[in-house]
Amino acid sequence: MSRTPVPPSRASAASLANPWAWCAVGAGLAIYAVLATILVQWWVRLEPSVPGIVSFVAPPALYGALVAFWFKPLPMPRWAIATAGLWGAHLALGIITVGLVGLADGEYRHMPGLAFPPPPVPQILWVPLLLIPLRDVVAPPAAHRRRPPVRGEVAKPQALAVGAPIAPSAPAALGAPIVPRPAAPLGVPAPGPRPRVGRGVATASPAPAPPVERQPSVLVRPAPAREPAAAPSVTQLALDRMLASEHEAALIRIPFERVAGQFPPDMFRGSRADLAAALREPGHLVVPQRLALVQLAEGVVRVGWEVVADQFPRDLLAMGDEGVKRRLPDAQIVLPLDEVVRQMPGELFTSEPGPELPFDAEDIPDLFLPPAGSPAVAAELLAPPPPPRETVVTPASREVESRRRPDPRKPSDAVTIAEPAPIDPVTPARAGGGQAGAAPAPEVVRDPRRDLAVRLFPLVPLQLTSEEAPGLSLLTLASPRVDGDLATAAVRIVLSALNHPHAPRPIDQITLRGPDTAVVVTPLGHGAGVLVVAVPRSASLGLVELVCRRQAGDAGLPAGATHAATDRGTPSEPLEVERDARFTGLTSALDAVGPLRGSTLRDPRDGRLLQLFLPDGSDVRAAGAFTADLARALLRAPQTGGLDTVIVRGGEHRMIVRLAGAGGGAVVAAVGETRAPGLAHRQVAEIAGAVTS
Amino acid sequence: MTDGLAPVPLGSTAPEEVHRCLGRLAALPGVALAALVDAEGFVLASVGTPPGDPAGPAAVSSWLVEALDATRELLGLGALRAVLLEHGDGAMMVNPLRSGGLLALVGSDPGALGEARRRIDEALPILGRGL
Repeated sequence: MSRTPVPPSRASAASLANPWAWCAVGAGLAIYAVLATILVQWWVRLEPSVPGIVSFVAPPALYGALVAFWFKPLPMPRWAIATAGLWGAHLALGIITVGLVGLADGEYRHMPGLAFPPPPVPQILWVPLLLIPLRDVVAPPAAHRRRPPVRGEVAKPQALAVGAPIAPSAPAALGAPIVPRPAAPLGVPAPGPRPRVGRGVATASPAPAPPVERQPSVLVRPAPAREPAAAPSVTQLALDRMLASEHEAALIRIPFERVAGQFPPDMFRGSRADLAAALREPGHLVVPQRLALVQLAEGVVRVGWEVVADQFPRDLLAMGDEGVKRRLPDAQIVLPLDEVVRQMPGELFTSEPGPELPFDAEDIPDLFLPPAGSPAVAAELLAPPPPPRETVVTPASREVESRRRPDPRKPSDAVTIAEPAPIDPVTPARAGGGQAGAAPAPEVVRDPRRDLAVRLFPLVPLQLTSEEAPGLSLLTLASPRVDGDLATAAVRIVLSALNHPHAPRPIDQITLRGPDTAVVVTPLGHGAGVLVVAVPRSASLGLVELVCRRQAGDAGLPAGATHAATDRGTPSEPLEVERDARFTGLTSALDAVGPLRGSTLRDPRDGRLLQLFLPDGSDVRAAGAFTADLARALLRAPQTGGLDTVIVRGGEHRMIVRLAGAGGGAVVAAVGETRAPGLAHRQVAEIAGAVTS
Repeated sequence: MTDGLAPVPLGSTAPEEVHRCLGRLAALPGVALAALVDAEGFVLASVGTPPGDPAGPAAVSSWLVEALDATRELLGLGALRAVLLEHGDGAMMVNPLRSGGLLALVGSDPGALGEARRRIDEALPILGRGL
């Protein structure tokens, strides 16, 4: 594993290169010179007013204490060297000062014992300033930056990428984010037991406690004071060990193509592919693992431009570092979490037993089933077992089968539903109403349509019924919450639409909507039948439509096909064209369906007003005839549950037909391509309301 | 019928402002699509070019939020603020709006959406009014 390109000396001597640190030293030296001059000018003698032994001992003792305090903990040899160095500077400055003063004042030159040791004041005030530029030389950055985190405090990973360049050998930069920030008190004043690491969770902690020995944990969650001290988890130990490790060579490699989109396009000379190939590690950006580790729980891992800047060949960059940083959000790039997590040690993600729930998990009801004791469940328990030849009740549905069984006494003027065919391979069908022995069981063949239905069950609780008509196979899935006859009524309407001579082609799907329910009808192609799903209107409706279309497509069934056995019906009566300018302005309210032209027609059979919004070049009379017949079918069909909207979808085109007014006295229809179907539905509904008013 | 038929505004926020707001979100690095979705999972407005049909993220986000919100209510948790869905082809973040709709962001990776999460707070009130 290669190391990052930043040389070790660069980070460890960063303070030496800091001009502000040297400015502070220079300013102190100037003040020192002025002070010494003033003392001399005012005839204040520089000779010590304290015994000589004090002049020898006091300065190094003070310097030693300062070094020990500032760089704690510091190895003894480093402490001794630093203290001796300051003492040496102190002596040198004192001797030089006395010498310079002696040039101006001959008395000093002849004063025995004044030059060594020099007077401790005033240079003792300046020498400690040398620790500012020398701090990275005196001690590794980690020793003076990584303050021991307070128990229960949380690191602030956002600070990571803002600091100096981070290299594996530069723990100072990595240590920066571990600097704790004040924790939000949660009303637990006393420090609790050892905080536990929560994977992916970084929360506030109890009130700040006095500093304790450094703990490298950065992700903590509050622990109640009454909770007994728990042994550190495997995850905690792994994280602690990784963070505490002084070995900084662990790196993660991010494919450049995963982050290339975050860089401004004009940042590079040449293509991104050329740039990726020219990276220090071709095709990848290399980031210290520690840097990602301390941010991982936040769900976002960012690195500053400085971290990766020198991995880019300078000749391929069209701007400098400052320019790049200005163009990046917060001068950072976001690393793809999947790449980061993939390169983290697996032990970091070991699962741990969760907290004990305050209730019995078995008490949680199944959200997708009716609550126990509901009429549906009670009826199911009391009902006899359903005949296996008629209906297949899925495991996800516990609705009573008899509720969904077609009532043979009800008239069926649109389609004749024949005796259902068996589709469950485990319950072979028997002809003649399920009477045993009436006919030999047919060969068991698994119906692929059942797979389509089963995939819908996670969305809503559905009951599956398969029915066969001459030339038509209906696969019906109905929610227990909708009327049992709704699907059949909707199928009648849809069949009349599919067979209309002026129906739009192709038709992928037809959805009928009412205030509370919706029926989604999806033709599955020649010979494959029609998939009918009746559900309450809910957040699942869009997904039900989508899954039905996808399943029809996945099955290799030609979308938009209709069954072939039913008559096409008779052409509609000629429509009268109304000239009503009041509707002209409404076309602008249908911007979700694209540029449309408004037309007003009147159905001579019932006087119903048809307000059509069609693209230029459309056959207005044909669309009007289809709309009029569809509205009539919608109004005449029994048990429609208040269905008032029909949405015909073919490819990207939609035709939205909406009844307006009491009894459907008017109809609004819009046809066009839309990328905002939800808005189109709402706009048609709004126009229907305006037409009615 | 009256003589004064006029387009009915769908919300207190102008559609242009909704699109501008979505456009700002879609322009964030790693965000392919920003969509305003109604309570049934249909797109009300969208900006961006998702890899597939924008109806997919819209439908999934609506169903997902409804299912999670039921669980959240059952467990007595606080209001659902965001859902992050990561899958093999990318990620999606969904923010329920107070008015019942949803803001769905589709991106190439969850990290990029995490960055976008910072910018969403200012967009939510505007988009919520737009519904």
